[in-house]
Amino acid sequence: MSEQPLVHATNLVKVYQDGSYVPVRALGGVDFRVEAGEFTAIAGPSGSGKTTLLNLIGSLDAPTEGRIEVAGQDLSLLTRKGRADFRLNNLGFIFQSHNLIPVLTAAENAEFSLLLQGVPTGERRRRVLSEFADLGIEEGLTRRRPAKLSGGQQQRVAIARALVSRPKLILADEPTASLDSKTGARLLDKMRDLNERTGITFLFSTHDPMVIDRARRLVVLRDGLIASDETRN
Amino acid sequence: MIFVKIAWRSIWRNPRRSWVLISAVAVGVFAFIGVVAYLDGMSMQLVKSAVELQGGHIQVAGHGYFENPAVRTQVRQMPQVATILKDASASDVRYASQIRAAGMISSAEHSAGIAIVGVDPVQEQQVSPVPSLVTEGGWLTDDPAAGEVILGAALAEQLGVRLRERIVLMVSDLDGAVNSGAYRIRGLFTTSSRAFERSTVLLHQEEVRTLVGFARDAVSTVAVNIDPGQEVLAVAATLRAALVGMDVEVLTWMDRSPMLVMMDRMMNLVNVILVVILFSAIGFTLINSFIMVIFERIREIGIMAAGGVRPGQVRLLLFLEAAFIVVVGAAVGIAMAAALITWWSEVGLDLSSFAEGLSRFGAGAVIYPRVVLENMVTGFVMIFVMVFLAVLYPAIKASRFKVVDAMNHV
Amino acid sequence: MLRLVKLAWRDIWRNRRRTLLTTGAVFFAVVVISLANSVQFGTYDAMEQSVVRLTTSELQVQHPRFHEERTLEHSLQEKALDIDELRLAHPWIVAASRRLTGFGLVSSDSASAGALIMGVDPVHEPTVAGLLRLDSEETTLTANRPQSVLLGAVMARNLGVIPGDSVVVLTQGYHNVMGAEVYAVQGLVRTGTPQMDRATMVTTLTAAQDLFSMPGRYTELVLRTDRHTTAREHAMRLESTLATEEAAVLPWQVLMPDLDQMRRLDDASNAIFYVFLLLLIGFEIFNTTAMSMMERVREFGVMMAMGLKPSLISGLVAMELAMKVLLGIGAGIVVTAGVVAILAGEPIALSQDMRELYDDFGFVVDGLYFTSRPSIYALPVVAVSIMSLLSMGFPILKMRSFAPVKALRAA
Repeated sequence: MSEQPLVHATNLVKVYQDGSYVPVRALGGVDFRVEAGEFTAIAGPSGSGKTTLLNLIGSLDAPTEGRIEVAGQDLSLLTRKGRADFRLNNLGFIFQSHNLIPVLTAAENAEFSLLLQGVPTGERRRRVLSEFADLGIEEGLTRRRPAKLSGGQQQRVAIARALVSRPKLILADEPTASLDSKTGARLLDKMRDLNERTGITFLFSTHDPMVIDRARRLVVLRDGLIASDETRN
Repeated sequence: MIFVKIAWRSIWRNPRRSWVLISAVAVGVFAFIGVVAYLDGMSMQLVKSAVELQGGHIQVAGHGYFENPAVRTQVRQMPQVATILKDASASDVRYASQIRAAGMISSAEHSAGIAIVGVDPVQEQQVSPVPSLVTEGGWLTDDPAAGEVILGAALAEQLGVRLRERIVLMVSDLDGAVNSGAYRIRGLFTTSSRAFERSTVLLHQEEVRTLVGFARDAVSTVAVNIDPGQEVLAVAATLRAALVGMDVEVLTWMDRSPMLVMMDRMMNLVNVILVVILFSAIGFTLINSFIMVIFERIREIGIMAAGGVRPGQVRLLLFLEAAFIVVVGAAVGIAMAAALITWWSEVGLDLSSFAEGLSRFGAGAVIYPRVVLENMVTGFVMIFVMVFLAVLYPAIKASRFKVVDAMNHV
Repeated sequence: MLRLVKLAWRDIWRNRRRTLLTTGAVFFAVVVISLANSVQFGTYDAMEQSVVRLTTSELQVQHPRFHEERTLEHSLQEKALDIDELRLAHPWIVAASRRLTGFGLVSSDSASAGALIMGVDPVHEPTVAGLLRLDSEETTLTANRPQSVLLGAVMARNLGVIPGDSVVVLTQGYHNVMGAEVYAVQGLVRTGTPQMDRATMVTTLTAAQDLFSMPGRYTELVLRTDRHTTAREHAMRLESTLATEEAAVLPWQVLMPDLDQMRRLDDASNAIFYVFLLLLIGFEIFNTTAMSMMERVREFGVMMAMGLKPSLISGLVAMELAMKVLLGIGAGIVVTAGVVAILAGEPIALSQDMRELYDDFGFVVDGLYFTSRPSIYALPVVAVSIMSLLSMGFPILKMRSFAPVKALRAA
């Protein structure tokens, strides 16, 4: 592991100014670091800025002020295309729902990033299948389209997709929100297990107690500022 | 390639959405083929019938006849000219000779100035539309002494005469003496041109020859019709070269009737305007539909972008989808248009059923569609370009959308 | 009800893109069809007017049977109709002139040809029709040179005569009296119509009356009115007030059926074009309506969950559609009216060689004319309204079988 933090954000400010509405200050100057290998949850009430923070780290949106480096890369220096490539090679995303491309089968969805990376067919197949096996996705499901999968199955495929390209960082925005608690718990255990085995960093935004319980570090945001930051075991 | 796969499947995933687009393209293609085939058919029909009525695509006549159509100006060696006409043209040239003179027609009560046209009843049927436009009675028989004439229904009405009644023709012969003869009306014709109907009397060439005093082998004009595939100017040039030494001139309908050329051009101009209007409507529909549909998919695009799909790849995907849509839509549109045109070519489109008072146009008001390949290709190119433009704006917009906004888009 | 209107109004502004799609389609349809109508009506009107004023003029008073049977027996008595009285009673008559039209054989030394012989009032004829360009010295007919005639230019050439030569005219006159007269060719006329130039002889009314042995009689009273478009109405009004039973009033449409039919043929032909165009536009309106309906399934689900009746929701949708369509129609009319106002003053000139051709044939129409008369909006407004009403059927039917739970789940 390098000396440098995986995520290094300094003085992040994000102001949403949408048309004629009153500007909303979603982040009010946040300093935030994530070391490689962390399993961290960002919690806080609705509107506290946790999704905004995650989006900024994921290069899905640009900050109004401040600077973010992810894996040693200053995100503000990247072009639109550069950001796409950066996400492809370094990040994995898991969203609340509708994570998958509806027209591709489970297996095709999972291998999508590998395909964009130009990984040969044989290896793609092998890696996807091993990932599926690891996540307990049955063989019979690989050829199904997302619409024919349950919510839990869809999220597992989404995790497989995020993991299969071995990203440095996985950003998960409320990954359990659309799942029942039993399924959610199983998935979280799986993710934590993966984190321990592979060292992939996980960063969650959530207010689900199940996630908060399992996180090894808990950052609480309130009104766009970090209210508390505790690391536990 | 994964994007081809995604594009193709995306089209079929949401059939409603795809059918909106496919049907937009199909209706556009259908309307464009229908309108263009109709307009091409119509201008062809109107010009063709007018040209054929007025003496064929190409006319051969004695030198100076067009400047001054005097009876003295003649084609003096018709048999030789006929031989040359047959030899000079590789394909089947149809021709008919006429003896023309200005004269007067009288019934018991009325008289009128007319053009007397002496025709070969057999040849004339291959060249002129008049034989087929005889609506009462019949066409001339090939009997040089039958003493029968064909005249326009409007002229008969004006003279107050009916079928099988007698009329008198008066004409001055080559020596200036006024000759006359009595004839029985064998048939009446109706055309789209009332002026032609009022001013033309047809009878057997040999009777006019005697009446006006033409020599055995002499005629006034020879009408030549060519096949649709042939170029009028090229055939005329060939004939002109072949007929050197016969003391004749060869003119195309464009030389003879600048009025028709003007009509033709006027019609083309109007057609261009109509086609521009139609295409702007098609373009609008396409742009409208594509914008509508692409904006529906923004969230999906956002997910892909989050996963590392580049903006260029997003555009590629949208263009691929559009390409599939256009191909399927165009195929459907062509199939529909082909069915329409096949049926339409059978039955024709009788304009007189759309408006009162057109029945007297007879066959002249029945329009058959005509597929001009060149115009069709141009149309398709335009449709492709318009779809490209229709996709360009939303595609650029979609690829530039902030991923966050895209994902939150409903 | 008012609340529904308010709600619908807010809705259409809430999602502007969706509103723009339907309103834009309607707007576009109205603009395109009205403009097409405008140029079509305008150019045809201009062409008709120029031809009408060149030849027949708007109206003619004739013997009731003259039009069908052009014989001199069907002529009128000069005394029977007083022109000044007519003009006093009908101020829309701008000018009037008598003509006597018959047929005869015109011969020169070398040739002869049948001709239409027109006897015209040398003073008034130029005020009713531009056919005879009687404006130059050599073509000015005057009553004091009764033995002079004008010949159609092509006819003179065919007969081999030039001004100054003489021609012999043979006629079968009134009551079948044969007439024969020698005339001096004073000048040539170019009417713009080759058929007429080939077979027309013009002389004064009195000379023609002598030739046909019918003093005091004539065949046509030519009336120039202020507008050619109302000729039919004018003809009916005039005929009902005529003192004599022995006269009919014919509008130019009857006098020149070819011209009228040309327009009808063209109208019929354009109808085909409009069928395709409306098919396209109707499809577009239906499509945008159906699409925005589908897009809003979830929203309707919420409304239903809140207790709105399906009939109210379909009413809302219909109201919104009506508003969008009316907005589109209104905007379309405003924009078209503006464009037409600019274009109506000046015709769009046709290309130069086209104009030369027009000159050769005496047509006054030299470009595309736009008319601003309100009837250009009739077809687009009616057609678009009907198509919108049909499109409304879709959401209303859809609402009938609407399940809120399903709608809420769809998104």
